[in-house]
Amino acid sequence: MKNIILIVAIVLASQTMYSQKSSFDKYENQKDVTSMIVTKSMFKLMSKIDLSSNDPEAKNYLNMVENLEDIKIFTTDNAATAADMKSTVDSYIKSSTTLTELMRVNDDGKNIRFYVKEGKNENFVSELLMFLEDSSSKDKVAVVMSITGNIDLRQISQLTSDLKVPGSDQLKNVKKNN
Amino acid sequence: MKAAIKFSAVILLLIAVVGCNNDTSLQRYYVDKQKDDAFITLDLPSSLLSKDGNTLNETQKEALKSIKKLNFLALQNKEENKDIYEVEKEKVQTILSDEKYKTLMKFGSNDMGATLKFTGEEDAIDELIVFASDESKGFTLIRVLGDDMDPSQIIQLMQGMNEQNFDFSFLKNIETALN
Repeated sequence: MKNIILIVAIVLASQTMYSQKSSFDKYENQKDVTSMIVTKSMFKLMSKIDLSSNDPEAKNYLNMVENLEDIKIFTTDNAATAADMKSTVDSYIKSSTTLTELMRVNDDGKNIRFYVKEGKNENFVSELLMFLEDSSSKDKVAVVMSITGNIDLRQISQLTSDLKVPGSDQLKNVKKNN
Repeated sequence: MKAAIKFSAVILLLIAVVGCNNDTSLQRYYVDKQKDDAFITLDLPSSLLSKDGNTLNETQKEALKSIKKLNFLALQNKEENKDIYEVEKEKVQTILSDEKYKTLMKFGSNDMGATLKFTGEEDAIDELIVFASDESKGFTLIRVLGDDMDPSQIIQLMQGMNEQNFDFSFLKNIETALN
């Protein structure tokens, strides 16, 4: 009987944890924000698709994808929303003690910052957060990208460039910088 | 101990009953709206889609067999629908927010949005749902209903999708209905 209660408790607890909202979810249904969310189920499904390829690179890629929890990308060209995104990102970073800055790039008026949460070893992180600000453009452009899961830093740039996320080029050099 | 078993049996029964109720909601919504003239609906068994004498291979045939039917529903955001449009859109969104419809992907931008959801397991999908809306046009709900659909088989089937193997005339029906 105790076991049953324990199991029920665990199931309930995991469900509430699952439904816990992240700081950026408010942008999901906001006008003047373009959002894209890919979930763990999608990654699992992608990895189930047998590409019948013996290409080790493709295999590595699928392996990396299978270990991801979710990807969220929010883009805006509205100045007020961009400012709001910046403060949300800043307060999120401040509230988290485990997020550390990975790198900072200033390129052509674009200001890109990357933050990571440590993973199982130096090549892996459990969270990757990117914030891009483009003050040079007429409308203020801001991009927030959050990736969670078991992220292989050596492979993630390929995924972000596939998703056409700005800042992917900078991410390519990440292991050299490390 | 006996009481404990009885208790857990009652709980299980409750979960089953609640589960069943949820189970039919999207289906019920679809069936309800089939009678509603404001909506455009189309119910298409997969057997009607494939043509005789097709050149599908065994895997593709098996994948086709796992698909039971396609459901299509749309509501245009026109003057005559403006009273019901937001209400109905919200209804669908509420049904889809149920945990059993697992999200695969979500996209949103100003007046447009699209969500891809499914039920079942990642390698045995029972229902694939596309919900898309564009405020200038309307919203649409597309359901692919099947039994343990295997994504890798479906991908192979898609490669065999051409005029020779499939009857795409239903697309023309949708097009005429929308215009």
